[in-house]
Amino acid sequence: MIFEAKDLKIYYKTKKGFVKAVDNISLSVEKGQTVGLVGESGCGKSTFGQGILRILPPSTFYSGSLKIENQELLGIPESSMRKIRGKKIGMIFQDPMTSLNPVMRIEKLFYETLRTHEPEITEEEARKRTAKVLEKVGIEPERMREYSFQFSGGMRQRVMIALTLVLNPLLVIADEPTTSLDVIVQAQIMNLLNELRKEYDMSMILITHDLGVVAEMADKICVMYAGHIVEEALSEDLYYRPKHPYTELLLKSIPNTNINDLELKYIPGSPPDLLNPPIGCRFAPRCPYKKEICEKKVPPTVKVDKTKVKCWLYSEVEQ
Amino acid sequence: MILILLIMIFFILRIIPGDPVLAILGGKAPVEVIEAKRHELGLDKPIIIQFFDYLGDVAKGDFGVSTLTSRPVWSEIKDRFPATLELTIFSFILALIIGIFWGAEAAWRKDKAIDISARVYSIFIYAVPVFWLGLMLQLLFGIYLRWLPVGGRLSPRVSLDIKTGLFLLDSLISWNWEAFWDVLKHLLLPGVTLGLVISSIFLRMVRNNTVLMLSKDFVKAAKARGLKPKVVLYGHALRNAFVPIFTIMGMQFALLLAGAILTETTFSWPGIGSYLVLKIKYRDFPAIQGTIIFFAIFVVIISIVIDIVNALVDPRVRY
Amino acid sequence: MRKKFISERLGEFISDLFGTGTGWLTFIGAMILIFYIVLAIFSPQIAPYNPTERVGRSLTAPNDQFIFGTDNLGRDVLSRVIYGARIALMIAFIAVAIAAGVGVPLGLISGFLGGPLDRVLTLIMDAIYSFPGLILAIAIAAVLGPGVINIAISIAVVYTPTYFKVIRNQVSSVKSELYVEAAKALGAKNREILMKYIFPNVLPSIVVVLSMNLADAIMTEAGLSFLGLGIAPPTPDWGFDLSNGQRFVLSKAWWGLLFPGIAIITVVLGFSMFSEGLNELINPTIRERR
Repeated sequence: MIFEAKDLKIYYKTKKGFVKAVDNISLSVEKGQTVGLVGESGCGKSTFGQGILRILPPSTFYSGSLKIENQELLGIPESSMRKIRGKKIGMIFQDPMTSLNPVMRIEKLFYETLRTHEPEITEEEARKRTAKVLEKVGIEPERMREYSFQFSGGMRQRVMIALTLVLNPLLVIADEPTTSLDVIVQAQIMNLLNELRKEYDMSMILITHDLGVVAEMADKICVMYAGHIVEEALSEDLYYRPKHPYTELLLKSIPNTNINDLELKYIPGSPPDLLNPPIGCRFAPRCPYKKEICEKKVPPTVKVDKTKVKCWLYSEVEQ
Repeated sequence: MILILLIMIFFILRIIPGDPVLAILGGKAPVEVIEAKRHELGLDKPIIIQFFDYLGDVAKGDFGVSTLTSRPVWSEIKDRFPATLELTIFSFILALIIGIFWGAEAAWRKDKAIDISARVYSIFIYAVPVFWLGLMLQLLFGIYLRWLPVGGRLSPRVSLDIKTGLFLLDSLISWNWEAFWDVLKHLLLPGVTLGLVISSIFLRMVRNNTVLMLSKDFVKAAKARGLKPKVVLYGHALRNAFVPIFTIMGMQFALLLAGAILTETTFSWPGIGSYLVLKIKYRDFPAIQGTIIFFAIFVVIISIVIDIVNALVDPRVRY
Repeated sequence: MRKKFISERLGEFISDLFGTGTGWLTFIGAMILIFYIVLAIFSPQIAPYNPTERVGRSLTAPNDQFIFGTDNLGRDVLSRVIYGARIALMIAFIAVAIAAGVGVPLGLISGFLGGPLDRVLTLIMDAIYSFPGLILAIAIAAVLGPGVINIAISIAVVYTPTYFKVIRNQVSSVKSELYVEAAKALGAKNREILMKYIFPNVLPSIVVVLSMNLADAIMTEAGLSFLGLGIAPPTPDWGFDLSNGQRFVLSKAWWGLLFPGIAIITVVLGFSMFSEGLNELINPTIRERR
């Protein structure tokens, strides 16, 4: 197990109180495994991703355990955290148009990153490594002299990926890597990521709201809703035998071109306010299978076949 | 642009109530002498002809002759300009240093003491008249503490070989340490006065822009790569924050000149600012005209220089 | 029913005012301004002595008789500071009135009509705008000579382009908005369009610029007097009193410097705070209304 989050809580501090963005989730990633983290906007998945690297506002509250290669991350000083960032855990950001410094040449971005983690590296060596990794993502190495605005969206994202890979981190967090790209480029980038993960034997957490994006690449998928992980299953199990009502409805709401089924389905209602989340299961207000217990107590996570599910449908209440 | 100003200045000044000829000769001179002088100065020609004559002269670098001292205006300006240059450069650099470092740190530690003090400082200093600040500093450091001289550029007993007119430079060139310290002591109070006043605007702009930049994605991405905070702040956030500041630098410079006039008057600093004020008192209108036109040309040149520097700093302008 | 509405809105406005920090800013700024306006209007009643008369020995330090001390001519500094408010505020208000009075209509016309007139006016205004303000004011003040109106005019010239630019740009952009086109299509006359549609939208920006301008105007006026280009003595004027500064410095008569200076600082601060707060208040409201 290369990465493990246990009972992780990440709360944002606001004037009105704590926003419980990530509330008690546990997730693990094995070496070479790709774990998909899916959920709608605001469910806490980006918070989770950025929380791992601790790049959230300084007033954020963390509790639980976060381990990379058995090293505990929660509670270590900022200076130690800086050594982890980029080197052990890398992150690919969502919007390539804004995640690269516009006034810095690409090669400088690489050089600066390499220099930070390997202070003895020479300019020559850095340039060689930059060229190599740029080739891997499909960019001519000569272009490293250019600025980010001279690249198109898709190319920029490749640069972003290269920048993350140049340090060869143990774990890569891809936070909605294709959301800002158009469909064709999306496919290209996903293919690229797929190839690279095999080549580098990368462990990856792929965060997205798009079930389609995650289908091909993920070994196992965690479905997140309102700060909780409601289902964790192997990809095939998730798509063909979804257990949690939310997953089921999510799958149903994917538009399909089956001529007999043209009605657009969606899940009525909206996600809960995370400042004052509901007492019981957070999906209960919108759940078609809701029981009385659902709105009173938070369901435990139980194992059904090979899937973990957080739902009262699968566990009996003690009377 | 200059042409318009030239036209305006020329015609406005011609409407001065108060005959310069009489001012030179005194009211009691016989009529023929007055007329002769008027003819000598070319003041009896039709005003349009006077204007074109003047244009021609200016193109040749001839700003006319001072009606007060009978010396060519241009040579008087040439003599006094380096003093103003030295003062403005010193103040500008001081303002930049205060603005950049305090502003950047204030943005990094937003809403903490350093930030609040920065905001209070800029609002407050903006309301302080530069000449008042100068007088108070004179009082404190010149009279009560007796640390620094109250006016002038150089103590009378100190000798200096003047090459560029920039005394600091001249004293360094000739290894004249006694002169260097003396010049510095004289430059300190007026330079600090003007510098502080100008810094308020820089500080505000740097702080606000940097705060904006710090919330941008590429800063988060830089943090995620484990870059040190100083690098993130200065290399990424500040460098981008500075770009829009450049566009208003031109305006800043105009303010600097205006402040210089007041500062020179306060500290008996022999620059073109105090020169202008002196000439106005004596209604020496060739000199007044020449000086104002010189100011205009100077401002235009500086704007061009700033545009060039802007292109150097922001690569997006170049491509 | 109507009466209720107005008082409701007023109530909302006041709670808005104090709900946020900027509300306090506006309030304090306004208090300072009212204080000085009162001082200016009622100077004869408030000031203990005649500011132009010699009432004591020269350069006496603050004491029971002369709370702010006396200047080099034996005049009471406190009285001079109080009366100074008159000149400062008067000139500032007149200057801004002229600047706005000229700049706004020109901006409206220029922005609305466009064409060669617009280009010429913009060129002239830009030239003035890019030139260091104080120097321009100095030049014009030198030409016109002392006197309240003259100084007001010299300051006004410096600020007219600001109004012109702001208004003209707003008019230009509003002009091409759909609802103006619609009005035109319905046959509205140019003047009607200008007054009913464009002007009300442009008004808030004017108000904010106005208050900022007043702050600047006071500073500029003080600067001009300091250089000897302002009001002729013996009229009490803060800038002029500071021009005696060197004399005070050498005699260690700090009171002659401190008090007029503080007066300038507080008035300018007052206007700045007021305009900052006003800016915050007016802009969100516009966004809501739109």
